[in-house]
Amino acid sequence: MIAGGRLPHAALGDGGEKGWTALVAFLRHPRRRRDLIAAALFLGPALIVLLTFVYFPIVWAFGISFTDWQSGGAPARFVGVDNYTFLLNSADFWRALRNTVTFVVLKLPLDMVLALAVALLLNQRLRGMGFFRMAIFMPVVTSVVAAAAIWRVLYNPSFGVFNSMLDAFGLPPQRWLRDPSLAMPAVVLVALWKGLGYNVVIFLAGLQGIGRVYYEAAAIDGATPWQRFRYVTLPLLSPVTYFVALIGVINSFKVFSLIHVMLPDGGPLDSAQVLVFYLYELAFQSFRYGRAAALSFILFGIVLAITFLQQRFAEKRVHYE
Amino acid sequence: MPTRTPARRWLLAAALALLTGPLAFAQPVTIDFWYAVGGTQGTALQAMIDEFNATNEYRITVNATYSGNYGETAQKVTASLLSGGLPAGGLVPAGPLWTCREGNHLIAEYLAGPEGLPEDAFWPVLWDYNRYGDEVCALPFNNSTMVMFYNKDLMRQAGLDPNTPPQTWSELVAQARAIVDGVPGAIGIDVRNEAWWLKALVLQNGGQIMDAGSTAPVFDDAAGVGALEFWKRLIDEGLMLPAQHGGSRDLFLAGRLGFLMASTASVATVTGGATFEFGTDFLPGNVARGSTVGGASLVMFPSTPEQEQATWRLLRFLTNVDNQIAFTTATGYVPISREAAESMAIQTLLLEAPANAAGFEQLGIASQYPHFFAMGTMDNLLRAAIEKVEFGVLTPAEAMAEAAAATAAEIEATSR
Repeated sequence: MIAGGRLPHAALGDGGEKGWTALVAFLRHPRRRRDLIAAALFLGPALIVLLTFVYFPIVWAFGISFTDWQSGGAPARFVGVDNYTFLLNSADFWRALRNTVTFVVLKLPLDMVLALAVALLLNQRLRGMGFFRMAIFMPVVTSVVAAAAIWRVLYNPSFGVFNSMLDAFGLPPQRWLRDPSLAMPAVVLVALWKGLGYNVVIFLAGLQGIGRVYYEAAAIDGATPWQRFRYVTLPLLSPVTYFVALIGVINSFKVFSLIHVMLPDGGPLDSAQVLVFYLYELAFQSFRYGRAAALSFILFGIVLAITFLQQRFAEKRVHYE
Repeated sequence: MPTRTPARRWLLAAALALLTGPLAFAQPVTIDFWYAVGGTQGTALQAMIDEFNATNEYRITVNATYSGNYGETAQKVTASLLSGGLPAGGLVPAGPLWTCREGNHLIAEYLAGPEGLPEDAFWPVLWDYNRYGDEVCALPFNNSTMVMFYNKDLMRQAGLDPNTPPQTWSELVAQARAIVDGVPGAIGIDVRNEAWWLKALVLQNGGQIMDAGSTAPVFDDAAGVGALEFWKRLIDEGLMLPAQHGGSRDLFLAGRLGFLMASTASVATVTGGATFEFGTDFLPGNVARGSTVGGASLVMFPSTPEQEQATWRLLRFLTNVDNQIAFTTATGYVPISREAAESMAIQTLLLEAPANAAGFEQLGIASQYPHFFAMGTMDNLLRAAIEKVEFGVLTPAEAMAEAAAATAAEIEATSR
């Protein structure tokens, strides 16, 4: 914390000489200078790590995306936007994008509705609620590799639990992960199970942050439970909903490890080969680093665009208390 | 305590010099070494390196480190090729790509030098495996090949003789048919690594995967298409289930699969997990027997001349017949030379663990295309081709043509 008054943001924001003089004037105070040095010392190590291992590689990867770097010590050739045009003309890229969008579209709405419903249930003051809260959150802290391996066994067409259950009801067995039309829904189900608890906790925090006064006022006005939910809970929860949706989209576009463990070959007819999986194949099986880097920036562009659109259209519907 | 006069000190020094004189000719050398094998393999390798450090007469010290699995090691090597920091040697996947392809011909130079190795130091197929173009770029160490596991109990239940497993494609079809028809719920055939078996089928059908020197794929000729047609026949006749090969070893261990085509690296797992009697044999053949091989390779990276010589001496030590035998005994990996395979120690080992025999002997008839940069991509493309045929998206001829064209394009794009 900078002591001795606020930093003159407005003046700094103007930039140029005026901002600079303001900063110098601000720092003339010895205590503020000491604070600034202390802040730099505290932030320095983290900043250095971030710069070295996050920001520098990002810039570097952007450079790589314009080369034909394949691995090895031979200098990579500059190839302009060839990697980008290759990807945009490749059927593999569009299939991977389609698969990713399918994943997002299948998962996100279900995830949000389920998480909110469960959060509403867990928000009741009942005996033993701690147990249910823990049970719902358990999959989140389970290792993704272990969970995916267990689910693979459950889905096994020959001796998995799901087919035994279908059999018990006299239904025909399914191929699950080995069926091109079922593989992706099967993965989405695991992703839902695995990630639900996280969103539930966020919704729960949001629910508990809504002041009781609104509900009391609504009750006095004769609002039904549904009306209280519709006109009090939902609007006041909207910042949380917006956050969950935003993070959900970003994370869904980045899904990888779950699919990598459950379907190491990308699924039947590559039906679960999502963008990051395709990126992994390009980089670490084909060793085409240039193309993989280009794909990572296309992915970045897509996520950025979606975030921007979300912000543009969803933020208007977000109400703050 | 007696005081040391200068004279006594000189005497002591002279005595020391006399004692250590012969060693003084060899300057101490330290080399770094990476290896990409963990578990029992890593332990066995580290033990050999410890022994080398303790006993070698050249004052060589090897700092060996586990560099992560194949994928992680490939990434480290790749990064280090660009940024420096490569070790003097290593046991790495796709070794020829990180050496010869980078203009590093150290192995070929030392092979031709005064401390070189004879032609019969390794099976011919393993020399081929370690080539890039026509040049040997690495040495074999831990290799595997694909063999057939068969469930003797299922064969008995199906009225087959459990001691005459199928030797040909037609026998394989007939015996799998008998198991599927004779044992309710049993599955005839499955495979653990699809591309690997398809490549073996191409060889068995009289075809080749790549041209000499691995400059272009040739698996889309009549023999190659015939191999994929045979695959389709197994699916169409219900002897093999389409597109669920990932669980094949579990299926075999559950006692529900007649014939499993899998790597020799699975022998230990199957031996430990099978609750029924099973055997192993060569992959069944058609016009020929055949299989390709897999595994990591011993490589040298450029360093000082002294370090390079020390590395070569380490590699020679690691691949001497005694260590080949020790590694096979510890891990079940195939002996990499005829001399080791036929040694008394290995023959005794086979009496206790007969399931290892098929892989050990099959190396004598295996064949292998030299390394090329797009080989990982080719395996992915072959797997995709199989899947497209299994789901009826493409015919075998179309699928092989598509995979070959894409492989050729990838080779073209990655040529140097």
